[in-house]
Amino acid sequence: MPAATDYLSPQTLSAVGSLELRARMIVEGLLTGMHRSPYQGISVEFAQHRQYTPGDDTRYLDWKVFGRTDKLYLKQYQKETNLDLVVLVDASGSMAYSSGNADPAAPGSWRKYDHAASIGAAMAYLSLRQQDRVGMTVFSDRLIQVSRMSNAHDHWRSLVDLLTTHDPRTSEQHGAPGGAKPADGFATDFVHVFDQVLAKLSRRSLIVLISDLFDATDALDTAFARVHHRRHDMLVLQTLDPAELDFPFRDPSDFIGLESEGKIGLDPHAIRRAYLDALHAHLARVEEATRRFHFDHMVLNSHESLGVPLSQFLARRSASMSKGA
Amino acid sequence: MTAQVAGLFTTGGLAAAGAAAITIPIAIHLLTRLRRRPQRWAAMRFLIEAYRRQRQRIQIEQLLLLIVRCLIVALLGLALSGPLLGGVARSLGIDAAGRTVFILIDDALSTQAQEPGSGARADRLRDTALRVVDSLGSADRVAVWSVARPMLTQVATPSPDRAAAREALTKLKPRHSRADWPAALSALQAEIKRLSLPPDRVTVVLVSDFSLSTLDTTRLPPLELSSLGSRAKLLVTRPMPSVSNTQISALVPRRSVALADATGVVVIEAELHLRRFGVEAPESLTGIDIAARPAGGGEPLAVARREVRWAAGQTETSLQIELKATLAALGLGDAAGANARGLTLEARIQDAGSSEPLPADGLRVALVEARRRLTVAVADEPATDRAEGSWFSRPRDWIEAALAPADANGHTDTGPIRLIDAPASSLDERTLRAADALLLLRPDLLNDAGWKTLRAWVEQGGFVWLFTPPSDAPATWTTRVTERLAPDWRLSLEPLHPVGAAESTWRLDGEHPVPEMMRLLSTDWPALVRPIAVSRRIALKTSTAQDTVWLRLADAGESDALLATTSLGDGRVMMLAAAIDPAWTNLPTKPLFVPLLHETLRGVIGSPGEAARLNAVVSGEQPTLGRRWDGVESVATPDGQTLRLKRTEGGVALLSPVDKPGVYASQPGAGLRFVVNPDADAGDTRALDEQAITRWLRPLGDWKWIDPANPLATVAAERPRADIGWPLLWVVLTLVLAETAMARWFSHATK
Repeated sequence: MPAATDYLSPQTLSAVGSLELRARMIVEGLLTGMHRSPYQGISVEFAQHRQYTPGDDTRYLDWKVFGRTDKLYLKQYQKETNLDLVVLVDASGSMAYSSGNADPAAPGSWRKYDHAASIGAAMAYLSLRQQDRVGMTVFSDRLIQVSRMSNAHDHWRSLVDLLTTHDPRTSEQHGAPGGAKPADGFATDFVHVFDQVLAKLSRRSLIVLISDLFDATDALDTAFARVHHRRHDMLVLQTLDPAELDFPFRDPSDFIGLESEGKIGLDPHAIRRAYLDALHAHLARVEEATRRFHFDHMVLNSHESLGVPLSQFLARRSASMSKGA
Repeated sequence: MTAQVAGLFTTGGLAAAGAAAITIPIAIHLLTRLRRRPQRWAAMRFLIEAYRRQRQRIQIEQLLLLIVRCLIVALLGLALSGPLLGGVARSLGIDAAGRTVFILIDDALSTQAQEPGSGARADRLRDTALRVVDSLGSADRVAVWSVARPMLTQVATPSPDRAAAREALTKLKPRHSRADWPAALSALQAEIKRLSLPPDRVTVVLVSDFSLSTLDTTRLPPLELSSLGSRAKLLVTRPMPSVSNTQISALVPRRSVALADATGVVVIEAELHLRRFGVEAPESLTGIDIAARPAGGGEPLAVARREVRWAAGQTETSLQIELKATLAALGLGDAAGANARGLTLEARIQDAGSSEPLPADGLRVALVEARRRLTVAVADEPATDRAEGSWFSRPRDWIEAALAPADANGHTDTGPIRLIDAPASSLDERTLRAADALLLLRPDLLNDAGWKTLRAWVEQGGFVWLFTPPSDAPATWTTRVTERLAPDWRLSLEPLHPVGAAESTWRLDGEHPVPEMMRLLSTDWPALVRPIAVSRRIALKTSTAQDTVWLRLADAGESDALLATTSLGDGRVMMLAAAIDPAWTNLPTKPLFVPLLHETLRGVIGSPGEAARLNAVVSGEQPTLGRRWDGVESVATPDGQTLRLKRTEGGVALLSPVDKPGVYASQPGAGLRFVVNPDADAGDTRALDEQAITRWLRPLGDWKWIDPANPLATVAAERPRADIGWPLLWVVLTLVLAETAMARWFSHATK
């Protein structure tokens, strides 16, 4: 039987077909790990009791526990919040990439989209447990699926359905090999998407953008500026496949773009350094843009544990709540 | 062309494979492009950006890698094929150095031999040499030398003109002399040294039939040739198989002057020597035709036919031949007409042209002279001064009795020898020119002019026989003899007497070898010599090899002679150290006296040096003709060509060696002739043993046999390559390392 923390591993999660079950497993694994988490105290369930330390507000001492155990624990109450969480999940063609299997549509492969959807679903689950209002948007070059903002208990299921009803598709699957852009589109257009998303937000929100951010940094810059201008907070989780981060290919190959970029044949050995230079330059520009607007930016390896981004998310949520308070 | 191209390679297959292997990296390159794995990829934006940035560099790098890989494969193939490089370079005309190839081809008499089913040896040798020339590259230079004696340089200096070499070889005809490999190789070594040719670029091809006559393998090559193998690569053809050959090895007239006998018949006597060579010597029969023709050519004046029956295993034989002709047949019948006629004595093996493999040495010629009579001058004191004496009281009496005895009618001039008087005190040139020989009975009477005239006459071929005057006075004339005629002799100034009792005498050495001209008497020689006693004499000692002692005193020194002879110029000097007087010696009274005078005169006259020498000329020699030829500008060869003459210290000599056998006549016609015969030893057509050749060649250094089936391969394999193959391999290794580094660097796989 897998340990609870194994539930955060993509290898484990990829074996689970249901996104709903995946999200629950992720949260269970995450919360179990919180015993040793530096974020202890911000979790709802574990925050009920905390050993007293000098200086704590004695109003929150739980006397019943003291009576039974003769030890002092602080009693923490679930706090009412007004945080709105908006999860934006990129479903463009590039998110269908997985280096685990040559065929991105094959079962068992862990695509970047799977990683993004799992993170998004887990975040939504955690937020709903905190009574936060959660909205979910799946996009590519436009909004594909948009949910309403709600903190109802049954809203989570609708969010999961929203993530699973759309599946990122490549240009070939759209029947447009050679680079002709299909009618429904599958690249990303952050300016357009963020314009539409921001137009729907009436309250200050925490926006979680889960994407590979394969778009021009100028467009990202513009989109981030608009988010910042509307005084929203944002957590940018840039999800990348390990192959994209390392470019480990050796044999001469024809690289076929998943977003209608066409085909290019080359020797990976010869191009690797230049590719990595270009990638790192892009990541640096993204990092610089997020830092300029005081957003958090994290590069996620789609083959690594989901614990770190979720913990980041919780910390960011806490920070946003503090700002709101 | 095909042979030329094939000659560029020693490992042709490997070379072709190496050349073909160039396509391997190209094919791999193209296949790699065709067989790329499809790879779906999301981060195309960065890949495209990187590719656009790197595209030109990548293309250059890939091109460089492709070139380097092609070079590696190509150079490896070339390096392993070794000689290919030099050959290719030469064929492209970029190998400016090239090789220097000396072709030394044997054109000696034995190469004229026809081998059953294979044609003439010379043709096969020429074919081999031509194939060698055809295998040479455009930058190679070739010289062609023929090694029959004397060595001739057909193409003397190495030249890139292969057409000239081909033409020289095509025109080359075998000569009649023997090969002289030591001389040819010595000249070759000197030429290599003179041209300062690098050892690895000199190839010497020895093309020979290697018959027994070619090389004296019992003697080591000259010491100075020991470094030849290090100066050049030596390639040697293998010996050709033995063929049988019968030859006339010598035709020696018994006398160069044949005199008519009392019946007016001239008898020409000669000795014929035959040899036969071959693997087997079965019983067989050889017919020989002998003829005497006029020296200027024409129908035979006398002919004979002899047969030689060879016993099994017999390889040499000799026979006496005799041709008879009347004076009338010889054109000497008229007593007032010509006294002499030159004849060519010719011996030829019957059917030599058809059945004999080497007909050239089946013919031999010699010059003889037929005379009606000889004229002998007798230089004595003037008749008026002669003291009256008893019968046979004077030396001249003994001479007359021996040479021109009176017939029944009292005539003394009917025999073949006519005596004329030549007063010793007034000896002149005219008298000497009318005589065939001079018997100088009174040298003590000869004045200075006489001695001078006499010397000049002898030097031009005259024969003088000095006799000691019967006088006990001091013999001051002996000083003149040593000064004018025989500087190597030592003569006493006064007569010697035996030491001891007055009646004691010197005896002659009967065991002393028989003089060549006295060989008719050889059987009886000791018996003829022993009775002779000498009771008074002039001491006569000889010293040089030219001096020949005919009669030697017993119990005396080796050089203490009674009768000795020496040559002077083209003539001959003879001296009897005792007077023709019974008081001095009993020789005039003994049986030896008459034949001694006759045989000496008949043998010496006509061949005092000159005739004997000119009858012994063989092909390849450059004879000195002697003073009688003074004034002659040129000679006509047997085939009608003209050879120029030059003056030398020893007389007139030919400007170039002679080869064509036959009679050579002076031009314009002064009636002087000499004959040239093939070098008999050069006709030995038996094959030399390969091991013997190996032993002879070993001291020269490294050498190789030429593969008879494929001479081109052997010659091509000797192209210089050692200094190219290894450096090429190092270049390949360097390129491999460079390729590895470049491939790693270009792919940036530095981790």
